[in-house]
Amino acid sequence: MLEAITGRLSHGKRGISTVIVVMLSLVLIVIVVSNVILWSYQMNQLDLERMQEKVTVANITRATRSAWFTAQNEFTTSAGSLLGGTYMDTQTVDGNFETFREESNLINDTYNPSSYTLLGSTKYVSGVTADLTTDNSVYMIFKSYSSAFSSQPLYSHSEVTTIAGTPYYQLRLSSADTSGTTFSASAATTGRKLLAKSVYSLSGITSVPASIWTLYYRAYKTGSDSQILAHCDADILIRKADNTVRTTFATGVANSPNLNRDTYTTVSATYVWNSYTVVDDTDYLEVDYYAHVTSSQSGRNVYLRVDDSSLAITDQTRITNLSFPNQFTVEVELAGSGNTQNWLSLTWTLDNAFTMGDVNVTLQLYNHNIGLYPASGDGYVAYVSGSTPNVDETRNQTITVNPAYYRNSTGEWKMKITGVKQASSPVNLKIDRAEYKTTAVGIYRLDVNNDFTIDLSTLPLNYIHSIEMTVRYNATQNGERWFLKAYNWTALSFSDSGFNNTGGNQPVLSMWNDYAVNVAGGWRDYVNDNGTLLIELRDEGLNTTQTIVGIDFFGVDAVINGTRFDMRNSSPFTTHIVAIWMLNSTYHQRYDVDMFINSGEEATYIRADISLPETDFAAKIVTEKGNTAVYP
Amino acid sequence: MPKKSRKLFRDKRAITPVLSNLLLTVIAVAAMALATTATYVITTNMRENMSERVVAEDVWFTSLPNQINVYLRNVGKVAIHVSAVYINHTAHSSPTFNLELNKHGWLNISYNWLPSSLYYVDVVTSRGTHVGGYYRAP
Repeated sequence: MLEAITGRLSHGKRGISTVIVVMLSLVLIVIVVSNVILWSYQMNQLDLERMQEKVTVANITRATRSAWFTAQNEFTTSAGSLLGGTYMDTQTVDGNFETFREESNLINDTYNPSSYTLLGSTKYVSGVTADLTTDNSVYMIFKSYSSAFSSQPLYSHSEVTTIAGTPYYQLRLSSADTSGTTFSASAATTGRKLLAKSVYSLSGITSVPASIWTLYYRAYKTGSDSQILAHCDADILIRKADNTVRTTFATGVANSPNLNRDTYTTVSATYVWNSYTVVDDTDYLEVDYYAHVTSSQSGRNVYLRVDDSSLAITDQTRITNLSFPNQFTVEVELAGSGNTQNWLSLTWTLDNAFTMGDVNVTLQLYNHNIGLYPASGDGYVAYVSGSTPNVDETRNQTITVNPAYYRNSTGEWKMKITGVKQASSPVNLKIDRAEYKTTAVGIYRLDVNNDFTIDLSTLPLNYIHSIEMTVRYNATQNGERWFLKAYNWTALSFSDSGFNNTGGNQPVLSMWNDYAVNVAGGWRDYVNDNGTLLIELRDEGLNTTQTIVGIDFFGVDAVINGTRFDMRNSSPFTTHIVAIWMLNSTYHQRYDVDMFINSGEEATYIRADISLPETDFAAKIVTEKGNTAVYP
Repeated sequence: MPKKSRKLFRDKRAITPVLSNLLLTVIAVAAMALATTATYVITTNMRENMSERVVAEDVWFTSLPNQINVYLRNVGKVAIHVSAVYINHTAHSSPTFNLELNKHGWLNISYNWLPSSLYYVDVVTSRGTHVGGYYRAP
């Protein structure tokens, strides 16, 4: 095999292997050499820069204040809005400023009625105004009164109403609906013989206007005309619910002609009814039918036929031309008090139900400017209630044009509910909720805040004596003061406790205003452990006009007993200061520093934890490259 | 087994060229690895020697105890190991003091210095780098 290898090496005429080996060797040599050269170049470069680096300490003095720490991110507006500029405009006093604008919150106030007034002859039924505050089906209930009348008949019926245990036949607006009932009285003797007592409830009726009634009697007599004479008449009275008589209007009136013999005929007579105001609508109108026998004969009778539906209406026993209500109205005025602020809008709401369907409802809000309840437009809502009784319906209206018209100078308001129902019996109004809601323009407010972070590497908290905050601002209004407050990290709220000035700053128009406060005692509560202060600038909260505030500078500094180093970098490149030495005869103290100075620039470095020695001292600053500048 | 395959395995003349080629390849790879390792070792040492930089930020003569304290900072690109200290060109001690990259610290040298005397303090690293200078005792 060795022979084969040596033979292959010696007889390899193409020499590829040799070439490869040589090439690899050359590559290796190039890598080695370039690596050494590159490394050498880098170290030479380092040495060259180190040689060229020149940093000097121009001065070292006592520092009583740190540098300003300004906002490093955008301000947060708890109230108001950012109008222009950025937080960077607040970092230096240069006339470039960030602008904020006060904004207003809308103030909603809701009021409910505190009293009610019954209008017309509306009657209070139940409930209190406190029931009107919520939609909870707890109502104030009012009863309607008769508001329109029409000539109507009352038909005598055979059905009975019991008053305090005594039965009375009914008078109804509807015609006969049974096969009929006959009342009889003996004609054996002369005189008035009672046939029937009929009543009609005056519920919901406030009055019965004057009219000439006609009483129709379906009656006859037995016996010959020569032997017996009889006619019908009536007593008319008001009977109370306790079955006693309130008023008797007439006795033996509406005398009919003499009755026919043995055959029913319908005879009539009139009665002049004077207007009557109902004293109590639990009363009844009573008509007592009598047979008045003027010539008697034994075994003879008088008969009165009622409620016979087989008869024509004109033949039925009835009373016509009574003026009875055909319309009922309920009217209530609700009143309350609100405020006198500058309203943007007013929304009034009513939630009602009626004990009958299809009631014409009008809701009105009193317009104090015109001194009337409006008949259209704002302050006026009209609708017909649903056909189902006792279902709450809510109606509201928002008034944005002159909403203040709907209150008086002291903020009082009133609204009226009118329900009109075409019916023969009264309807009740049930008010569930009545609300008067105002939306007013609030006070214009501005509250901006931001974090300000103290560099703890140069200002350890232990070396800070107090904190100062300053803002340079202008304002377009001078009607209120401006306040600085800081977030108390212990109490978890903004506060100015411990500030030397808690009275705020009254701005002067058209100029920059400098407002600074110092926090001596308790300043540590305002600086959290990472050196952050959260400071806010807020208005006094008095403006009703919008103010624009420009902030030219907003910063925080610390009162310290430290040392200020004024340095200059004369090198052609940026230098990195890594240490400061303070030397005197008794100690050599090194302080870590992390500070860059651009080429050709001067820089000031303040350290709160370096107290300037009272005696002779020397100071050195050391750069990252290892150069040292000594002062003095 | 096919006839052709049996013929190939019985042909002993084909083995020698293959083995010789393989052997040559192994020798070449081994030689290159050896050369690379040697190069790495040589250049690493050179690079470390070139990269060593150390400065004395401060020299503090303390009397209790009597010491010359030298504050050294490694500004090079390799860790340093102080191997010897010379005071006034006389070997004084061989302290054990190491500084990693970008580290710094006091090198305390026990020495009975005399006030107001001038001393040449020379700190030598294991790679032969000197950091020294004249310092006057207070």
